[in-house]
Amino acid sequence: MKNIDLVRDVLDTQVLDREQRPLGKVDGIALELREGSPPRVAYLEVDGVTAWRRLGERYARWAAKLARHWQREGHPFRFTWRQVRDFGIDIEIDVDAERAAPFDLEHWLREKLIRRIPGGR
Amino acid sequence: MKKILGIALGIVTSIGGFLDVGSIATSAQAGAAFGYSLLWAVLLGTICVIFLVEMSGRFSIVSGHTIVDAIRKRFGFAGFIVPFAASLLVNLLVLASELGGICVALQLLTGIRFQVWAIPVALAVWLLLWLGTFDVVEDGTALLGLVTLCFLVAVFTLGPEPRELAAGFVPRLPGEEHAHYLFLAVSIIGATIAPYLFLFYSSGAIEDKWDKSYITPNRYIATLGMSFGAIISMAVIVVAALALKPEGIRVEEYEQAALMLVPAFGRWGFYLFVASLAIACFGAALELSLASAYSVSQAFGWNWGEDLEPRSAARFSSAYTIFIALAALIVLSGLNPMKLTLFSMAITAVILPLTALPFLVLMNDARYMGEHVNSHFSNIVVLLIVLLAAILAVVAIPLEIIGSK
Amino acid sequence: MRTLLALVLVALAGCGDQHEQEMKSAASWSSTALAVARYWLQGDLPDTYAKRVLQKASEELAKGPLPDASEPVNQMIEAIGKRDQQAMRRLIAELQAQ
Repeated sequence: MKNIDLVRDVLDTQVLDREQRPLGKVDGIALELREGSPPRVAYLEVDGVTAWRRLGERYARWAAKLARHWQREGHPFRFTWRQVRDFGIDIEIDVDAERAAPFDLEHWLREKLIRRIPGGR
Repeated sequence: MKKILGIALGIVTSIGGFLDVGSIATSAQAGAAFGYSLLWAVLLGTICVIFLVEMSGRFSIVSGHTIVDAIRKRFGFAGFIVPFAASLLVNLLVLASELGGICVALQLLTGIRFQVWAIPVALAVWLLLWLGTFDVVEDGTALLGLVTLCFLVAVFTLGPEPRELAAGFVPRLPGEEHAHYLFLAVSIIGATIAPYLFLFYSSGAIEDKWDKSYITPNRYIATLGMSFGAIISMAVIVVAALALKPEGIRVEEYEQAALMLVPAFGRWGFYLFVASLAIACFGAALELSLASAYSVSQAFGWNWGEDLEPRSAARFSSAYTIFIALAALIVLSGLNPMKLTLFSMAITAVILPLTALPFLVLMNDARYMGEHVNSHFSNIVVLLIVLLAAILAVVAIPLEIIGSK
Repeated sequence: MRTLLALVLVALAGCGDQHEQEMKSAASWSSTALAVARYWLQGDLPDTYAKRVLQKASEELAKGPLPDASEPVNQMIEAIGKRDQQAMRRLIAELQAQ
C-alpha cells in the first residue's frame, strides 16, 4: 500500500488531460470528513481563485471579480481520483482540456486574439 | 555528428545572446571610469552563471520539469508567489531597458528621439514572436549577435598591456569614488547573472526535448557558451578603458559610449557600435519576453510554447504581448535609458537570492534530480556568489543614490 | 547604532563629493566634445550623430561648473553644419585651453 503525501505530491502539481496537454495545476484539495472514518479526498480543484484563496480571502475576491469576465459555468473545475489515469511528476486525468472549465480564459483570449490580430492563425 | 552540431549551435546561441543592454552599459561605464579594475566582477558573475545555467539544463533534463513549474510545486502557491512577482517586475524593468537600448541605437543613427521609436520597436519584437518559431528566434538572433565580436577584434587592434589587464582580475578598491565602483561591480554582476537567462534555458531544454543523452553536451554548452559570452563583455570593458578613459570621457550617456569603437575601426566604428547595441538588445528583448511568458504559463499550468501558434496558446501569447506593451510604455515615459538600465541591473542583483536559493533547494532534492543532485562544490559556489552580490547591492544602491543627488 | 552612524557618515561624505562629481562630469563632457570634433575632422563620424552629441555636451556643460565651455561647443555644431574644418580646428584649440 503506497502512501501519497497530499501536500508534497498532489498540491500544485501540473494536471494534464488525456492528450497530455496542460490543463492547469492542482490549486486545491477538498477532504470529505466522515463520522467514525478517516477523511478521504473528495475532489481536487483546478481554479485560479482557489489558489489565490490560499493567500487570503481578499485575494480570492479580487481574483473572482477579474475571472468573472471569462469564466462560464463549471467553475471551480473539480475532478475526483477516479478520473486520474496516471500519477507521477504530473497528474493525467481522463478529460479533454479544450472542453474543460479551466480553458475558459484560453477560449476568451482566442476570441479576442483571432478577431483582432492577423497572423494568429 | 548531429550532437556536435547541436553543441556548436548551443554555444553560438549563448555567445550571441550574452551581450545585452545591461552588459554593454555597465561594461562601458566600468571601463571608462575605472579602466580594467572591474574585470573581476565579470569573471565572478560568469562563474556563477555557468553553474546556474548548467544546473538549469540538468534540472530540466533529469526532472522533466521546468524550474518555475517545480518551484511552485515544491514550495506551494503561497510560498512562491512573492519571489515570482518580484522577478516578473524586475524582468519588466530589464525589458524596458532592452527596448530602450534598441531605441537609443536608432536615435544615435538617425538623430530622432528614442521615445519615438518605442512603439515601432516594440511592434517589431512582438511580431517576431507572434509569427516566428523558437528555433528561428533563438538561432536568428544568435547569429546576428555575432556582430558583437567586433569588440573582441577591437581589443586585438588596440593591444592592451597584458600585465595591466591581468591586474584587473583582482578585486581592489580604487583610490576614490568607492561608492560608484561598488555600485558598478554590483550592476555588472546583476547584468551577468540575469535570472531570466537560466529560467529561459530550462524552458528551452524542454522545448528542444533534451533527454539524458544531453547531460554532457549541456555542460559544454553552458560552460563554453557563457565563457565566450563573458569574454565579449570583458572586451567591452577593455575597449572602453583604452578608447575612452585616456581621453577623460566618462560614459554618462550612450552617446559617449558610441565613440569607443572609432579608434579601432575608424569610420566603421560608430556603425558597429550602433549595430551591436541594437542587435544585442533585440535578441535579449525576445528572450526576456518569452522568459516572462514561460514563467507565467508554467506557474499557472497553462499550455505554453513558442512553437505553438498564438491561437493554440492564447494565454501564453497574451502574456508576452502584455509584457512588451507595458515595457514600451516605460520607454515612452522618457525615463533616461542609461539610468534605467543601471538600476535594473543593480536591483537584479538584490533579488537574485529570491530566485537562486529556491532553485538550489530543488537542485539538491533527490525526488527531482535522482542521482544527479548537486555537488557540495556547486552549492557553495552559487550560494557564496549570490549572497555576496545581494549584500553588496543592498549597500551599494543607497550609496549610489545619495552620491548622485 | 554604530552601523547607522557609519552609514550617515558615508552619506555626508557623499554629499561633500558633490562638487567634485560635477567637475568630473563637466571635464568628461568637455573631453567628449573634443574627441567628437577630432573624429569628425578625420571623417570618422556622421554629421547627424556628431551634432547630436555636441548638443548634449553643450547642454550638460551649461548646467555645470564650466558653463563657458558650452559656447565653443555650440560653435562646433555650427562648424559641422557649414562643413568648416578650419573653424573646427580653431574651436578645438579654444576648448582645450579652457
